[in-house]
Amino acid sequence: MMNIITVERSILAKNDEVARMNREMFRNSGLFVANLVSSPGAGKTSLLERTLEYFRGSVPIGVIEGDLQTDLDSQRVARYGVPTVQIMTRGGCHLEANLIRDAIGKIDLSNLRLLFIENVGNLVCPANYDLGESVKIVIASTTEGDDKPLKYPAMFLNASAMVINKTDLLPYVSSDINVLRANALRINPQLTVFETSCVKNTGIEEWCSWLKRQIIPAS
Amino acid sequence: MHEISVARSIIEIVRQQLAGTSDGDVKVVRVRLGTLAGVVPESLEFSYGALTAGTRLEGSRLEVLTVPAQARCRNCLAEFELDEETFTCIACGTGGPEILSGREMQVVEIELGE
Repeated sequence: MMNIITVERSILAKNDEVARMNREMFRNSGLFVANLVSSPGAGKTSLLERTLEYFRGSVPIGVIEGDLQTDLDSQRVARYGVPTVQIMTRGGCHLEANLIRDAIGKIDLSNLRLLFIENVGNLVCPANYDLGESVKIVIASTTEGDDKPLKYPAMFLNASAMVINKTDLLPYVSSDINVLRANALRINPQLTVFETSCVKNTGIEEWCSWLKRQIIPAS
Repeated sequence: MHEISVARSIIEIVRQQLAGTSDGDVKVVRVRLGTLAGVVPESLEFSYGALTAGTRLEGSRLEVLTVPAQARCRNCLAEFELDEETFTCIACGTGGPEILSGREMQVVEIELGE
């Protein structure tokens, strides 16, 4: 005898439910939350440092750092005097909503306006996991090659903005920034695109002005 | 390699469905995966096998039903199966089509046997 049980349930239902609760909590706290995703070494932490520097003294920011091991990134970020929580996934290749729920229990959200979640460096796995963020921001560096959006489309599909980082290295690499931008927009024409160099501190003003416009006005 | 964590979520859903029942052994667990979901079926099947060893689900098989990505051109409104290497309309060549399907990640059904 064969017996079929119909399930029809989203595999990520549990994660999405926790993400929904996180989102509600962020909304109640008046927080704009950016989930930073990229391959390892694209410059997520460097961009974060430049951003924290820019907003120092004007916008209260919190940071959740995700890494497989070490708290090196939260040490870097903590130098800017912002509340920081480090999540160590111990081999896990992405952050999940329940890790964020636990992390926000360790941070006082009430006075913050902006929260950054720096995801584990990985251009594949974090794409599917909603953390409750307002937006996903994908960082693509010029040294990775201009074909990355076509190779890892899901991440670019799910992002609201793309930061092309390491523009100072363009003279030394074969990547064409126009091709990189066109490839990303071919997958997701709604992407807002920024070009930055965290070493030369260029493009940071434009990126931070956009962030500033996303901040939820105090009610 | 998030296939392990995806497999774990599938197993948890199956366990919840089976809780309190003793209607025989699980033969097949069927899941639906869109080609844009970023999950490798072979890795998922392997992870499922490894995680179910020594449990009630040992010996059951994970079957992946693949859903191709369908898209609609924002320019000429043509609907077509997406070429994931180009993301371009097959009728007019415009990029950035609206994605209609291909992101599915669902547990469809559980097949039980004697």
